[in-house]
Amino acid sequence: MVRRWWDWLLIGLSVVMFCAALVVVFLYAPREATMGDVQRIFYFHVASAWVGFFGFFVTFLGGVLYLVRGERRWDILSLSSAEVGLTFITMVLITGSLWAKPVWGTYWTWEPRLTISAVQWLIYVAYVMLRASTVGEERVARFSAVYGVLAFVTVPLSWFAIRWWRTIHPQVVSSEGMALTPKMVQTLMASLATFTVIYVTLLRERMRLEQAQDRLAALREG
Amino acid sequence: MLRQIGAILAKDLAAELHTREILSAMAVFAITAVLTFSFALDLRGATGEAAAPGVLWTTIAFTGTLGLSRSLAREQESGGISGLMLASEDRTVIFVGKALSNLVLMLLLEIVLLPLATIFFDVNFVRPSVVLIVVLGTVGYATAGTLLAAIAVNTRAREVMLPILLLPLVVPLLLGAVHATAGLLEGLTLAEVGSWVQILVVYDLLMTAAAVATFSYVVEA
Amino acid sequence: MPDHLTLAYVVFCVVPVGLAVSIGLRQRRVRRALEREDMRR
Repeated sequence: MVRRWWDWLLIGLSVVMFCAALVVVFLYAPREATMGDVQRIFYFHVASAWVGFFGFFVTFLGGVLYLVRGERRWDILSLSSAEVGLTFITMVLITGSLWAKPVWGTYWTWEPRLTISAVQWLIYVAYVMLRASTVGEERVARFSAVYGVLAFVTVPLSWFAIRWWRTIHPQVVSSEGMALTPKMVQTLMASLATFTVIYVTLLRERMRLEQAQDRLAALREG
Repeated sequence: MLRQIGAILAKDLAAELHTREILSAMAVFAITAVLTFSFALDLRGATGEAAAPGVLWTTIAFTGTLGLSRSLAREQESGGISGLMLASEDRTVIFVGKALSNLVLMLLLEIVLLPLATIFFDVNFVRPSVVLIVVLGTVGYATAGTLLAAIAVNTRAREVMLPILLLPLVVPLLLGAVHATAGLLEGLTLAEVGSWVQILVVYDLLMTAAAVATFSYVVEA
Repeated sequence: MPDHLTLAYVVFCVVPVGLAVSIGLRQRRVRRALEREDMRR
């Protein structure tokens, strides 16, 4: 499928916004009092987490629509969102560890957002492995849609459970303690907008790839 | 409809009780697991007491995947599910029947496991409040597990797929059950561990609804 | 060994670009296969 003008617009926007966001994070956002410059990881880290979860939601949505409508394009939406979402969640985990080490002295903290990201990561990976291990295009779509739906249903509960768990074992380790000034909030919003655009762009491109593969397979069969 | 569920349940349980194959495998595995944890983590004395709820539930979680996998694999080998679908049009009935039989299987295991853990860790698991938690947790686990096992058994990786699919989804159950159990063992009342019990109940309801809604898509011909 | 902030932002740059490149390469492979199919006909 040929790229339309909005595909190019998305790609262009992604690049421009990403560069702009970098500038905002490093030059506009203030230096945090207690943590210093390393705190700047926070902006893209949190943006990745929100986008990663959103990708999860889109996978769920695609799954529901596929089960109800039976149309391949919903399955394409699901699998594409899963692949892109997994990438974002991976970044959350890596950068979370990089941030944690200098600030709290340990690579892994059981901080709620990080922990729920780890759970989401495992679910995404399970989703991908399920797709790889199932034979038959229709069956793959059906199974992964069901899994996507079930998994998504459990995530809010996991979130609450993890939070409650953390409150009974409180540790100094928490980003909740960070006071956000207006400039920081703006930087966070800018990061979030940027990552959302990047997510949509990558999602669209991944879907185009899958559509092209479908066409190739159809040609070879027919 | 209840009669049909009862019929499936009775048939499954009769088959299992006849050979006791799955149940004995689960029991032996569970005991081995408890021992392994104790050796590996040096769970003697006070450490053991503190770790006991966690060990109990981890053991249930892992042993459960064993039982679920075998139960559905056996079903597949004997051409079971297709036969069931001929007998009853309603997919919900099949699912509830299977989930209940898996639940009973796990409960039977827990009847063995709880006293054993009590003796082993010198903490009293065998009391009504704890039993309630165990039942609540197992219901959610069996529901999710039955559905996911039905999927797993139809993949190339088969049984190996089940823990990968199931364990991330039972995080709320594990957290809720472990903390409720731990609280109760420390002498708290059920009301005091209420928030954890809430998670278990909400999970059971949500998962049952979701599983019943989606099961027909799993066993479509 | 660069500091954690730099490393983190390297990750933020490299990972999305890496995914984009991966998708792009796969797209190219399929496009070429499609062209070959078209030529065969």
